[in-house]
Amino acid sequence: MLFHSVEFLFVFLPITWIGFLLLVRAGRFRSVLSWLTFASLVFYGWWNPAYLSLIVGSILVNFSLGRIVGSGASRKVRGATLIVGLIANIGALAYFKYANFFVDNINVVLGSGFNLEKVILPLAISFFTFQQVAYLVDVWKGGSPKYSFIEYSFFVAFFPQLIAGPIVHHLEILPQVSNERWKPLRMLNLQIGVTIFILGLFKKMVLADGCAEYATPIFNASATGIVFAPVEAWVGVVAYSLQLYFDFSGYSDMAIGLSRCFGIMLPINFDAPYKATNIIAFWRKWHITLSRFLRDYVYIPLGGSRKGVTIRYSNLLITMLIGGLWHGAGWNFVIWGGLHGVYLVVNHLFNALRWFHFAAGSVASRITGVAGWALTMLCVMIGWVFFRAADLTSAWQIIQSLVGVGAPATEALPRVLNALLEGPEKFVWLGFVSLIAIFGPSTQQYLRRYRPGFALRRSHLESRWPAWRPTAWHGVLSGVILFIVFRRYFQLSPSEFLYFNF
Amino acid sequence: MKYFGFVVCGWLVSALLLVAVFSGSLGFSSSANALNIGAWYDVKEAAMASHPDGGRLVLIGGSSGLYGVRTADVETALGVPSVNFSVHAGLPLRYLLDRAKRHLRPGDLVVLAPEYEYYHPSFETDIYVDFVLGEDPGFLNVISRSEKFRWLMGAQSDSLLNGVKRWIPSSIDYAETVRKHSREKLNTHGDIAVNDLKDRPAARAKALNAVEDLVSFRASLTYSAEAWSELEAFLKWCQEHQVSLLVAFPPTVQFAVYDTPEVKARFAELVAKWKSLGVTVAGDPASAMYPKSSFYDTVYHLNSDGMTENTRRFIDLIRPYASGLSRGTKGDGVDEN
Repeated sequence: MLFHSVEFLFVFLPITWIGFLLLVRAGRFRSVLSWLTFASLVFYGWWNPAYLSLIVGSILVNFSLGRIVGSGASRKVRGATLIVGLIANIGALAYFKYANFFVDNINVVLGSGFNLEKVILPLAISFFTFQQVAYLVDVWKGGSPKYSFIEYSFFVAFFPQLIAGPIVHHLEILPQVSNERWKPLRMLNLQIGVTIFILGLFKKMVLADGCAEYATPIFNASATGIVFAPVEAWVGVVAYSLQLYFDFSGYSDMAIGLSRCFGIMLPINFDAPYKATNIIAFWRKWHITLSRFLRDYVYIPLGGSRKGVTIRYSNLLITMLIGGLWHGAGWNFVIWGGLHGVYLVVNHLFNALRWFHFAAGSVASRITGVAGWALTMLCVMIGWVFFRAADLTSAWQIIQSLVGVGAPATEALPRVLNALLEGPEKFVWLGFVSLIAIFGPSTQQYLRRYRPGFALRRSHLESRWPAWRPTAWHGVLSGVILFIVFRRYFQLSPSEFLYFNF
Repeated sequence: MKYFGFVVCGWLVSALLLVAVFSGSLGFSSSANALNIGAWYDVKEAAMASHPDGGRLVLIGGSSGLYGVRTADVETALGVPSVNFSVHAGLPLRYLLDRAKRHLRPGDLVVLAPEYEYYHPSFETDIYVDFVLGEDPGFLNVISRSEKFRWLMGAQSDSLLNGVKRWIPSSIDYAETVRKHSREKLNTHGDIAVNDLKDRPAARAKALNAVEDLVSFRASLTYSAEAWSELEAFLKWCQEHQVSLLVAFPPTVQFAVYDTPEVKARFAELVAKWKSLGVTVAGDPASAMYPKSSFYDTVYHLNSDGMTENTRRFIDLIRPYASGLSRGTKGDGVDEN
């Protein structure tokens, strides 16, 4: 069930919310969690009921293992249980996500003919696996309170964050609902939640899907071997960069907004990443909850920056390679992760050299800021080519097209002219969406007066744009945005979220 | 709750604004495609009006008919008033047939040769929406309220802006220029007159080189219940209005895949379906296929030489059925065989 599908908006959500309302009004807070967990499993099972057993089994196994890891048993028993849990989680993820990839590569390397039927990737497995791995590790470290089974199930399955994140930490979610002062039925929560959800819908259905109309044909055609002229290739790459950002941040906003309607705050997942002036800042703003997981549960356990510069940079590379592979079983994703690993290493090295430092606000500082932003965006977009292209060949072909290498086929020339002369609207549209991404306020900046989510520094919320308040003008603005979104339902059928694939 | 009241207000104000812009967009177009099609219908309807009492041969289809048959030659060869009422496959079947019905008279012979895509479920293209809003807003009276609502809500910004441009003088000049230029592309029978290879732009030649067979490009030669329902309704209308109906097949590029048993079976299925409805089928799909060299720019657009050849074939096919027209015989649209 997609968040913007008719069945979700007009059947699932109202039923779930009314049930929630009745239980809260009756003061049965324990039952609220059971109800939301049940609804979340229905939400998950809508995609394929057969895989319900997988998530339910995963919850049962991890909860049980967590109990042992957190018990008073000997350190040896607890440690062994943790290892079993990690192997079980990573093993399941490896099987469902990477088995075909592994066998295909074995066949290529050894020239063998192993045959494995296509393993279907269960929805959300990458997300709920990571959340539970984090839980087990935290229990091992002694950093986790004991939760009831219902609380734990709710933490894993809560539908707004189940399918594509944000990757929530148990210490963010469960203390909210375990707190006796939890007041989920505040009108302000509903107003904030609905507003964020509308903004998410707008990002997804208007901005992201609008950019997809230009990105998809270019990448699809590239997969068939067509070589593009630079203008066309840049249109495709810029369009995809914007599509991916607004698609995923739109989804995150919808998740955060939906959760807020139930009185629960989620962590922020995006913080205007296309405003970043270097790659380190980009990764503090892009898919924040994944970066946080990789830092806390991969990079730091590997040694982080504690074992010297060389180990630090190799840890960074390994972490980013794992991050790439997490997104998908393909060499494209490995290269994408590796590229970002290299970018980060270069960025850290550059910072360490301290070649120059300008006073904040000076002209020189602004010039280097703009140059840094341009270079960062260039690096990020090159990475997205590998992320999106059907295979390495077509990715490389697009990269060549971007710089005019590989001489576009002669028939590409009329297409360029066509794009410039007959289709200026695509440049206007992409320019408009780019301006929103670069200069517009982020959702959390717009909602800054009301703490829209966790994990935000105060400086991230500063903005010259007007801040949202539950007033007439902001209400009318939300209504106008909602109407624009509503019209999209008559123009195209709901498209999937890109991050459902990861 | 007050806040949500304002959200609803914002929604309603936007809806009212859309209704106003949509209404203002009706009856004027600055889209080249819409203007083109509008101008072509002007020529074709003038041709129909020159023989207002029926007894005409009327070819209906998408642009395969426009580029495929020179009805001026048909008229000369058969001595029957002939009009090429084929326009553009961007218009759905429903519209093509509805527009034709406005001008058909008892005693007419319709040769219906839709492109194979017309047997798929109906579709609405931007060209169609632009055209109806700008050139034929009266058609909105034909569609249901729910469809009207869908059109209103789904209208693309481009379509809405096309109409708003009526207040820009240069847009009016542009529209007139495009109309005039489009009318000049047709002869007085409504046949295309600008498909000579020697005048073909290089880009058009390249477009032809890139064409694919219908099975690969259009996914499959499939026939939908929705399309058949539309066609059967038209057949019934013809019978009720004493208009004879013949079915023919559009000229298209010959590809090797069409000789495979599976694809042959799909073509045969189409012919059999028409025959089962009691409709006379003139020729067969294979006989309307030509080498790529006979085409102008797409799988359906013959060049001038190809058009001449196909017109000769068409005349031979139609001759037995057209003989009654000159005597004023009124057909019943049903196969007598």
